[in-house]
Formats: sequence, structure tokens, C-alpha cells
Amino acid sequence: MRPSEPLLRLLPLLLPFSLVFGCGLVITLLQSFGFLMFSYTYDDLFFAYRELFADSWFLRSAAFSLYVAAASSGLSIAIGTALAYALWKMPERYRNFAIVYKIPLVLPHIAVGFLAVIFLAKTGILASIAFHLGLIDSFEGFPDLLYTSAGIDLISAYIYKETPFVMVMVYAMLVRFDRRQIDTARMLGAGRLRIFYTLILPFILPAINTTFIILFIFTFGGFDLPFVLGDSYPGMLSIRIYEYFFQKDLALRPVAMAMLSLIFVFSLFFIGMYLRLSASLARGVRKL
Amino acid sequence: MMGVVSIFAVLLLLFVLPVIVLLLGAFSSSWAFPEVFPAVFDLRSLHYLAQHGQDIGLSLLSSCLYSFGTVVLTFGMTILPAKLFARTDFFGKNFLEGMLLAPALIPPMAFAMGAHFIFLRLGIADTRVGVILILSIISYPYMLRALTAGYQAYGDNFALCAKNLGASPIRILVAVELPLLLPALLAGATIVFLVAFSEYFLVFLIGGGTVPSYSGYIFPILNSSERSVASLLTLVFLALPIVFFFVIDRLIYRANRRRGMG
Repeated sequence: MRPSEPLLRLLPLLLPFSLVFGCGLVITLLQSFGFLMFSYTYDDLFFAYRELFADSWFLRSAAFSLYVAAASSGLSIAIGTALAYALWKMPERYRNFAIVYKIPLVLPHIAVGFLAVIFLAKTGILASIAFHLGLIDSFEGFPDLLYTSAGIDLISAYIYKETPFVMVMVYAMLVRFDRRQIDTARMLGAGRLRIFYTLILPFILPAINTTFIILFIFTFGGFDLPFVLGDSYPGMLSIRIYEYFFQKDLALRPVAMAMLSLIFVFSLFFIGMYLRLSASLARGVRKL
Repeated sequence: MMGVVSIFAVLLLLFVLPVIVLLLGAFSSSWAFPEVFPAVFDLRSLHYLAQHGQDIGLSLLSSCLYSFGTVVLTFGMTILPAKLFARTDFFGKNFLEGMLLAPALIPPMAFAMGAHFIFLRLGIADTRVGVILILSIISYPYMLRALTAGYQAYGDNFALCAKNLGASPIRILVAVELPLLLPALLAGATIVFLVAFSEYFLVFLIGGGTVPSYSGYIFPILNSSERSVASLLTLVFLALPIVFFFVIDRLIYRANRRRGMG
């Protein structure tokens, strides 16, 4: 193979990658500093960033996005891992029926948002069930689960959407686990919890780490689901970006681009930190 | 046995119950608090479907078109790089592989809004080409990973054999490699199609309202008071991939039988 040949073969991918992804990121960054802003010019290079930190709404929205991303990814990992492990321990002949867990993978985020409203609204399914159980007398007694700063609607919708993804990733890892190790551990007197924490968990941890990174960043910057669930205070960053991009004066577009640039830098930083952290944790674990 | 039953109970409660609620809701426009089960069923949503059949059909067709377009483009983008990554080692390979997965990891908004600016200059904003291009960028990593794994699953020997028998590179790809890659290709294509078909924001941003999409069509209905219509139209998201899955499964089965492999 000639030295230039790998590059030639990569061209069909590198060309659109650089044009759309690479240049797209660069233009986002440039516009955040006020360049390429059509006929507008800005005296202050950091005008957009000053605008962001002039008020507390940006930090509140960022904190809310972090909270929703951490809570939904963490809970999805916990539930998904437990279900994947349970599925893996099940006798083989039942496992095919479990395919129903893939339903949320097929449903788009906007559909999952709609489901969240049906279930969580004050007059929704859960409220009706609570009424029949005698927990509430009227729908007014049902707690506010939608559009609040607790983000219950967003978090539960993301958990519904993301748990099956965790199951797929963790199950794929479990399939490679040698089941005889469990028999050995049991013979040596290990209990169920001990087997999970000392044998299974270290084995599937790489899959869990990758999945957590993917889910966290995806939720942090996701738009479709917060958009269909409507606005709330303080609301996700992506909604603030949308407002600055589409609804406000074109002259304010650099503010949207500044938020996007910060999200991009944060994503890189998060991936780096998380990988370093999980690597140092893995060193502490005794290898078999 | 108790364990199996309780796991299925959890799976049904978590994943199937919402679909049942959609099914019931689709045929009862008067389902309201505090009914846990609808008291009266009606066909209001089907009337809506009959009235707006043309709009719904058009948006579905448009969504299918650009989603298939995305599958085709991502395949074209990744087939050569996938083989390269699976078969050869070269300087900077790991870094390159990691970098090329980034578009699936970084929030799409971060580059899509900048890309919109480029698309305006290139004259492909508000066009189907632009929509297919942006959707390909967020979804090709799945195709790349699937095809790379596909190439890794079998060695270089089949292609070498064909080459020794005098087959051209194109012939090798079509007659030898593609049939072997088919399972991986289908796995990648399924994810790419689902990602493209589900996406709301990017189609709206780059398509600018001139490229109809099913997700764009149902979005305002999801937020309206037309619960039964919204439920029925949401079920399409589930039904369509299932129909495709069975059609493709049948097609492959028949193709294999014709070649005596069934």
C-alpha cells in the first residue's frame, strides 16, 4: 500500500466530517466572538460571554442541565445494569421474550416527552391510579410533576429512553463473562451480593463508564425532549440557546454561539476528566 | 421461576404499559381523570387520519426519503474507511478512530448551528440534500462501527481468493464482501435510519420548514389537546420500523433460499 492510500480511502469520510463538523464548530466559535455575524460588528470580543455572566440565568440553567444529566444518567445506569444482570441470569428460553425492553430505543424523544405528559400530568394516568388507590381526593391533590424546577418530567422521560440503551451495552459485556466463575465463587461460599460486587461489577465497569459518558453529554446538550416538555424555570441550556438563536434579535446570536462553545469545551473537559478518573479507579481494583 | 415472573412484570410495567396506554388512548378521545381505563371508545382519531391522510402521508414519505438517503450516504462515507480501520495499522489510527466518533458524542447543536451558516453559503440550507448531510454527520459513527466490526468478523482470505480468480475490486465488493457484510450493514442501517427518522431539531433547523418531516408534523399535535390523535400518530413511530424489519427479514430469507442457503 502506498503511503498516500490510507488518506485517499478516508477522504469520503474526512471531507464531510471536516466541512460540516469541523467547520461547523469553528464557525460556532467565531460567531461567539462576534465574527462572521452578517452585517453586525462588535467592539467587544467578549461581548457574548460578558452577557452570559452578567446575570445569573445562565449559571442557573447550566446547573439545572448538569443536575438533569447527572440524575437521569445515574439512575438509568443503575436501573439498566440491574435489569441487564437479571436478564442475563434468566434461563435462556425466556430471554427472547424480553425483547420488549427495546421499545423505547425505537420511540423518538418527542414521543417519549408526550408519554411523560400523559403519565405525570395532574390529570394523568398516575394521578388516576393514585385516585383509585385513595391516595388523593381530586386531581388537585396530586403533586406537580410537570414543568417544575425539580425536573421530574425530564428526568423520568430520559430514564425511560436511556435505560434500554444501558441494558444493551451492559448485556453485550455480560455475554462475554465466563459463567463458571460464578459457580466457583458460590462453591467458595460467596453470597449473591458478594458475587455481583467483586466479580460482575469490575467486569462490566468499562461498559458502564462509556455508557455514562455518552448519556451524560447527550442529556446535557439534548434539545428535543426539553422542547416538547415545554419551558420551565430555570430550564435546560439548550432551550436558552434556541431562544437566543431564533427568537431574539439577530445581533444577540453570538450569545447562543457562546453557550454552544462553552458546551463543546465542557464536553471535551468532561470526557477527559471522566476517563482519567475511571482509569485511576481501575488501578485500585485488584486484577484476577 | 419467581425470579423470571418478577423480571417480566418489571419489563412489562416499564416498557409495554406505555404502549398499551397509547393504544387505548388512540381509540378514546374522552379518556380523562380519574378513569384508569377509558370508559368510552370512539374512532375520532381515525376520522382525523382520513381527513389529513394526504399531509400525513407526504410527511411520512419525506421522512422515509431523507432517512433512507442518510443510510445510503453514511454507507458511502464509511465503507472504505471501515475496511481500512479493520484491516490495516497506520500512524495515528487510534486517534483518528476516536476523533471520527465525536459527532455522535458532542451535542449536535454545537456544530449544527455553525454548519447552518455554511449550508446557507453553499445554498443547501432548506433543502433535502442539506438535511441528509447533517443527519449523516450525527449518525455515520454507528455505520462506521458496525461495518468495521463486520470486516473484522471475517478475514481477508475471501477477497484474496476472488482477487486470485481475477475479480475486479468492484466485483469483489459486490459479490464477496457485501454479502458477508450484510448482517453488520443491516445493524448499522437500522440505527442510522432510526436516528434520522426520530430527529426533530436538526431537520427543523436545516430543513427550515421547507423539507416536510413526520416528527415536524406531529410535534404541534403532541402539544395540543388532541390526545387520541397524538397517541395514534405516535404509534406510527413504533409500527413503521417493525414493518420495515419484517419486510427486510423476508427479503433476505427469500434471497437466501434462491441461492440455496435457506
